[in-house]
Amino acid sequence: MIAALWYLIWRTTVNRLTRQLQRVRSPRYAAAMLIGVVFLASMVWQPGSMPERGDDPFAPIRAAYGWGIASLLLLGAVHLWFSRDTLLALAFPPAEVQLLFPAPVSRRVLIAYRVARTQLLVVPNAIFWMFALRYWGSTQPAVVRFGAAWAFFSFLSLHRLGAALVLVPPARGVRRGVRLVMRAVLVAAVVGLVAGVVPSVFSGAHGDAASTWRALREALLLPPASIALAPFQLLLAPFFAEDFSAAQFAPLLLAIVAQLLWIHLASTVAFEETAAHASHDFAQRMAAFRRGSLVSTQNAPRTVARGRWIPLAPTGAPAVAIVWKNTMSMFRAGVLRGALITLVLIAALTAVLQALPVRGEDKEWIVLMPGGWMLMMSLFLGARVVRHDLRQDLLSLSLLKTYPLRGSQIIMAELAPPTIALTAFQAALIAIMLAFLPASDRPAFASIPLGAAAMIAILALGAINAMSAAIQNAVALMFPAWIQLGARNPGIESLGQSVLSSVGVVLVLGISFVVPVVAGALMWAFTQSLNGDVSMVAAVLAGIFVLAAEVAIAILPLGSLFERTEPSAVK
Amino acid sequence: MNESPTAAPAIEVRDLTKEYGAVRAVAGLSFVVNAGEVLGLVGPNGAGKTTTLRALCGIITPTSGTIRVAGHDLRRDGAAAKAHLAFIPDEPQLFDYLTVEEHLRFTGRLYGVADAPVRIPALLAEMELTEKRSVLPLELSRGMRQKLAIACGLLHRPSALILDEPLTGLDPAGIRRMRATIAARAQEGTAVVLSSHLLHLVEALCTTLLVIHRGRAIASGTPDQIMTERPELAGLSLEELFLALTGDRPGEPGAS
Repeated sequence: MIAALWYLIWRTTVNRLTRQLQRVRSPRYAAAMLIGVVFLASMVWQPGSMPERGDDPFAPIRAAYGWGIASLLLLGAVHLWFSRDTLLALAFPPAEVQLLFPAPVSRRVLIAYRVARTQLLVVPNAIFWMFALRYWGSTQPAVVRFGAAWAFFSFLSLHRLGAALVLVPPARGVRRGVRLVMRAVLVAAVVGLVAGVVPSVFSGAHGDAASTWRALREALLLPPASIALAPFQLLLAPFFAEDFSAAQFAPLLLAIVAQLLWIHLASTVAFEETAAHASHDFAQRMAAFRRGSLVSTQNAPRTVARGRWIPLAPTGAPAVAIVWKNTMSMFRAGVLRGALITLVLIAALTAVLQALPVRGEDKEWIVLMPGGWMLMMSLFLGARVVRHDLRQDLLSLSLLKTYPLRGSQIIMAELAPPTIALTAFQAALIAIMLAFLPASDRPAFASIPLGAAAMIAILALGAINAMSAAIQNAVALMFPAWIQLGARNPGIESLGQSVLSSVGVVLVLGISFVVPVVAGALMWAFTQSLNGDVSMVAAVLAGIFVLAAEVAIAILPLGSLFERTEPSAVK
Repeated sequence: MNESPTAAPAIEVRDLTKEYGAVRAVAGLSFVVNAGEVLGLVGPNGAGKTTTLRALCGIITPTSGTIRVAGHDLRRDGAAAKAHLAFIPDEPQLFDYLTVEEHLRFTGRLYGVADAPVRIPALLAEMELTEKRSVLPLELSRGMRQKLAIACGLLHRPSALILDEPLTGLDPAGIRRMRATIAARAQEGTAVVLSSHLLHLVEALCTTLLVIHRGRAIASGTPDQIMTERPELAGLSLEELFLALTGDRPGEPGAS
């Protein structure tokens, strides 16, 4: 039986890789692969940029931000031990549920198989991080970088699986005791962290950002916060080791062994029903993710949709039907709810920061920080997250192609909902930032009214969002097989593709700005004789117009590509 | 939508060929379906039936050949041709976040069905979906999903109805009702192309047959016409005729 499971792992891996490689026969996939290889090579070989040993640029990151990562790990552990999502660690693919669960395979063997299969994700991720850490300036030897990443991800995956086995309902006896102890320890750690940090920050800050920051760092290095974070610092220690030194690797390796032992002992628990539910839930979440939903349909509070949110007249431009459909889909998938929660959190955080005992010019930047950060995130990553466009509809390509619409009409209709939604979200962020900024600190644009400046900013954001959405949809249309596989099977190719596609999107976005910037500069030069502010407004508007025109021009070839794309290319 | 701009056949296919690399899925297929006719497209698995139907609907682009729907060339004037078409696949494709009724409203807008507000309740009743009108597709059974797909296909009164295994997932009562629906639409003048392995359904509904094997037409016409042209097949039932033509009976005409 074990031989059969090894055969399953081996053949599915080989077949999957073979299928990926076969796609490279297509020129466009081959070109993308070549660009990806060049990009990866550039990560490995950086002539003359290798820092000297002892001059480790990673060291300050450890000193300054190690506590931050450790705090995030603590929060992650709290989520792990208190959330039912942890049971998803027991999810098996549907075919394995159907074939392996009824087969004469013991629970221990099934769990061992699960552990072995997880390495198919862990090892490629460790390889990726081996390159990425080098790219970001780590001076560790490659093998140590790989070892650190492998140990870290292995521990995380094993701990998640171990926690899932503890949490399998109903938790009785030893498992119940372990659950109680783990939860109590984690609550104590969070209390220790908060108790150590909050009073120190308020007592150590002297009214400026630098002293507040310093007080925060010092508080994290002292008990009780340092004790609360100590186990998580141990997990990170190998990332700062010069070699496989026992002091930095041993605790994590011992933890891995202990975790394996625990999983071995706990794997006799009757997890099949939970695993079957988790598998179903996981499949639904993956399907929801592919559709562009931020929440699983499993968690949807109801399957009977609430009333008609947006009316739709039976006649008129047919493409509007697709805009309507995707907007409804966005609302029902929880995008509106997620956006509102984010806006409320940003507003609350901005209000708290405004109340901090900080004075002077720093105040303006501190107050603008949450909204500004979210604005930048939404600008560069928003179109990647809001996927209610071709990235969900390509799954229904056969249906879409029967509609009485030209390809360009469909593309235009698909781009509209994410563009409008993101721009509205960003406009709300701007409004929040302006609302919480004291009137005296608000930016002044000389003779341009603040409202007009905000409108121009929103127009510019709209054009950038439209271009981002166009690029994301173009990637989906050009490489549909990679996009779909990336959502379903997060492995090395999807990770690599994700990184590559992100780099590609940023590159193309940057290239798309060249002509608008030139147009804006020319407009600025031609209107120099006018009032300076008018000249600036004209330049910005010219740039916006050219960027919007680029999107409009891109829609035509994308429409043509849509018409040529066959459903077999998407599968 | 039933009104065709010319007196052209509802569907006219000439030399349809579709190749996937070295594999020729459909090779030089030609046929015509007039208003009110029901063409049964039959053949063994992998014969090219679904490829043909998908090409008819513009889902896949033929390697060569022409397809005209209500006089409109599908390649040159795709949107106009598709406005006269409805395709109902064996695996219904629905949008997860639109309710049953919203699917019909959405389809109505796509095809500009001015009387959609009147037709939708009638279609929901015909498909026994009235009680499920506010339900999302995730909650529908396989059969109900199929019924919804059929309702969406019928909403705009297509000139040509393309059905690929339309009865998959339906219960016996649903199958009977669907047969009646297809027959009624044909009587109203809709051209129907039906692909199915259920030969008794084909026999009951279809006015003509097109038997394809390995992408080529090996027989066409009514069963009587086919038997007249091939005297050695005289007296066979439709099932025996199919098996003989496609070569599943050793020594018979289609045997490879």
